[in-house]
Amino acid sequence: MNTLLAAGRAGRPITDFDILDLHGHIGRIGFALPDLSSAGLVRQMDQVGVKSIVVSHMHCMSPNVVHGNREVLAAMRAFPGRILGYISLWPYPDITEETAWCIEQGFTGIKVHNCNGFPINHTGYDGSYALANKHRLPILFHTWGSAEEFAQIRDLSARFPETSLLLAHAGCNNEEGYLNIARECPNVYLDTAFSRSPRGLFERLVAGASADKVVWGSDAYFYTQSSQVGKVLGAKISDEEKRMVLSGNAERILGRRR
Amino acid sequence: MSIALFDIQTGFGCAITADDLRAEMRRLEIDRALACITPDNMEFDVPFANEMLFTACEHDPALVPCPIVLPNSGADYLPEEAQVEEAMRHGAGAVFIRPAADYWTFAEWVCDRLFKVLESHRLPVLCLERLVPLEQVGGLAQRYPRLPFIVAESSYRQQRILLPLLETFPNVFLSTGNNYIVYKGIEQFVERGFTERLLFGTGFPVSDAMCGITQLMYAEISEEQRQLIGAGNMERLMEGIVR
Repeated sequence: MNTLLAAGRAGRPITDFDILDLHGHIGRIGFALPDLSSAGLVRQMDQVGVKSIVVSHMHCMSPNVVHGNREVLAAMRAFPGRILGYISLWPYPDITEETAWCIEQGFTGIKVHNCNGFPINHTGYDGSYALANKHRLPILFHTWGSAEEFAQIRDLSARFPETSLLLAHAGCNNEEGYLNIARECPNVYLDTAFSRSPRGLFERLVAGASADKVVWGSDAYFYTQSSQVGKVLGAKISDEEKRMVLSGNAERILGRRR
Repeated sequence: MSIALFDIQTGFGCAITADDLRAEMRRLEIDRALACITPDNMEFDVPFANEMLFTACEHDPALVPCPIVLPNSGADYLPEEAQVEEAMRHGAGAVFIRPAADYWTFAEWVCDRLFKVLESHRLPVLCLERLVPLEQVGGLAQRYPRLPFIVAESSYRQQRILLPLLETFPNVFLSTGNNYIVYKGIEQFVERGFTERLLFGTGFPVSDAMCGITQLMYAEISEEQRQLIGAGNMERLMEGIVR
């Protein structure tokens, strides 16, 4: 057993390096979650050995993004360095001022969900994306593998080359499409969060896109972090590659911010 | 403390052989597995599937067969008693039902004989949520209160239904792992006193087995509780089978 696999099998927190979770949430969602507290989320991070998680509010899927951003800010202040924040966007009314304010407050990046029916390259987001480009922030997109989404991502990658574009749920559909866009666009990264964790998917993402283009996201507490870390710890790849996915790539992405 | 693992949600078939399953169990230090033929929706020939399963599990105490059973209401198969006897003769730890694939329903006049025989032997019934919806599990658990029902492949969005299901029916058990990735779901069941009703599962070969392992191993519960969920509860269920 390699070291990280053995740690996961034994349930030992990973302490050799700082795990950074680039896909998290706080807030209420339609289905029942046993613990909605930020303190509870941090306790789970301690169990696994996660140093920091970047969260958006569940309201990233609703028009009430400003309310969600304020809740995220409160969590960031309650757990500095442990809980980092994504700014949630909605295309109407103009969200640019809110984005600028959140950046001033120390938010780490932007989260955009497309379940609202708006394309992720909607012009209503352009002002916020321009700020992200200026500050070299990551932008996490909910994706589900459609050709339409990939076209929108290519457009954004070209127009905002200083951002890091993180594609959530990579490989959930159209695996080849995710690999192609990650290989093609230097600022596109693949996020690992996926409920069922299909056997071998994570390894294929690493093999197809290279370990430096895959970042770990748990989607906690939409999913549980304790399960989502398993696909990395148990993968048939080297510990060094696991370390890149769990830590190094995210450090590099967050380290670009200015 | 080394935690033993008894994976109650796994199998082999098609591209994944029993040897592949054994290799993955060795790699991840999984001690035993309750094995079904997978994918469950492709094998329409029940006696053929069960024979494959029994043959692959024979002489290997690490693989416990979970054969398919069905009502003999079409008079085209073994009588219910013979099916159950065959399962137990091969050391089955549970049986697997898939009413839609095998064209039967839970109407009492269709399947009562099958469940009565299973109940008399306390032979647990594995119910995948996509094949046996939770309301139907509740209905069966009420009708056959001495028969253990194991819910598996449950979704992470069902906690509002799963909690009362376990509260209401003491003969219902829940498999962790696979798509049951409820944030702090294990912890909530344990806090409410249902430790002994949780069974470790992975969903392999559909899912990466390690996700189910880390879900259990990183849960905020005691080592004794982890041991029960990991293997102890399933072993106890098997001890309760009247062979």
